Amino acid sequence: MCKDTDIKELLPVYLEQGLNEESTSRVEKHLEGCADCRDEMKLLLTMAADRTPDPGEAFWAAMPERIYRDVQEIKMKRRRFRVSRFWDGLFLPRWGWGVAAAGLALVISLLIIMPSPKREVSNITPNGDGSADEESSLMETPGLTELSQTELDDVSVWADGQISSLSSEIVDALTSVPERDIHEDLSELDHQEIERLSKELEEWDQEA
Amino acid sequence: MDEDLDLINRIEAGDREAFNELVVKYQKPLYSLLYRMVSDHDDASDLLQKTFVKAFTGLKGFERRSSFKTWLYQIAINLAKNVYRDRSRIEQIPIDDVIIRRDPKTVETLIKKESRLLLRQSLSELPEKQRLTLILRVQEGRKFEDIAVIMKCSIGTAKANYHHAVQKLKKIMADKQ
Repeated sequence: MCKDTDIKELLPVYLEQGLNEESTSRVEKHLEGCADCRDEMKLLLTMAADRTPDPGEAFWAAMPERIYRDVQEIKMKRRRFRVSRFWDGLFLPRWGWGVAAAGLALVISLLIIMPSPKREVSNITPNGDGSADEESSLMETPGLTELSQTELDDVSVWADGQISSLSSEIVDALTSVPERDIHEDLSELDHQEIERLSKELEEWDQEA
Repeated sequence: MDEDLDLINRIEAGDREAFNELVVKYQKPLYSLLYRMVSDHDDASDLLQKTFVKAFTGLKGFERRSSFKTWLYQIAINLAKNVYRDRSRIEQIPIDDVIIRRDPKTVETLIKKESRLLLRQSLSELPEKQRLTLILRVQEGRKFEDIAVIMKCSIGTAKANYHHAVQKLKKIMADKQ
């Protein structure tokens, strides 16, 4: 087997007639005396002569249009993808909407539950002696000075009625404690407590 | 300026004529390469279209350091590799099955056809890199410098693949005959 790689690398170029005169004569001289390279040359010739089938003019003529159509389609898809990504970025995802709704509900409920500081604090204007004027803390309640004598009397009667009803409710509450049976109370005590109680009673008796 | 680069600039500016010109310039050599790789017209045609589409939709990725042709070949080979692996087996038509008339030209044609089939079948048995290198060098007439760029290897590796491919092919064909 020939190991002259320089010549072997020149063989395809010789086949393409791409060598200068000097190299061409060098290759030809080598081929005359080297059977291995002649075989290789035959193989290369067979390979080079093996033409691919021609699909025909119609095929070649249609190819640019087919490619152009595909390219435009892909570019259009990419554009659509970019637009959809823009919209996706602009709008919140579902979980984002959920969080936002929950936050809004929390804020509203806090506003409803919390008393308005406006009525309690800001409307109380301190007097010169440091005391707050009750009249000024009630936004739309008329002052006592604006009432007539008759209205004052009515208020007084209403206040008396309210106080008397309240006092009767308190007395009822105090007196309405249900009577308890002494035996039931004693049954709840254990042996030691009963002994201690009887001793105390004896002492009271002695003292008495 | 390189003619291809000029065409590419015009394509990027939306020139349809330049687009057609570039496709027409390279469609035949690319089809030839792809057909040799996959040995099937439909696959080669499909791959040819895909190669151009990939190139035109990815022109921004073309760094313009190597030639546009070399870049196209790189894309085509990468796309064809998968198909080539599946389709590299070529059916051999036994010469006995063909009706031979008493026409010396027909016999000669059939012998040539048979030797072509033998060659293609032997080529398909080569390792992928060796086969590609041999096709690019002998059938596509590419220089080793170009082959090294297309195959993404050194020039020395490209030359070594070529020599190994030739030796192996000679042996396979001798065994078959």
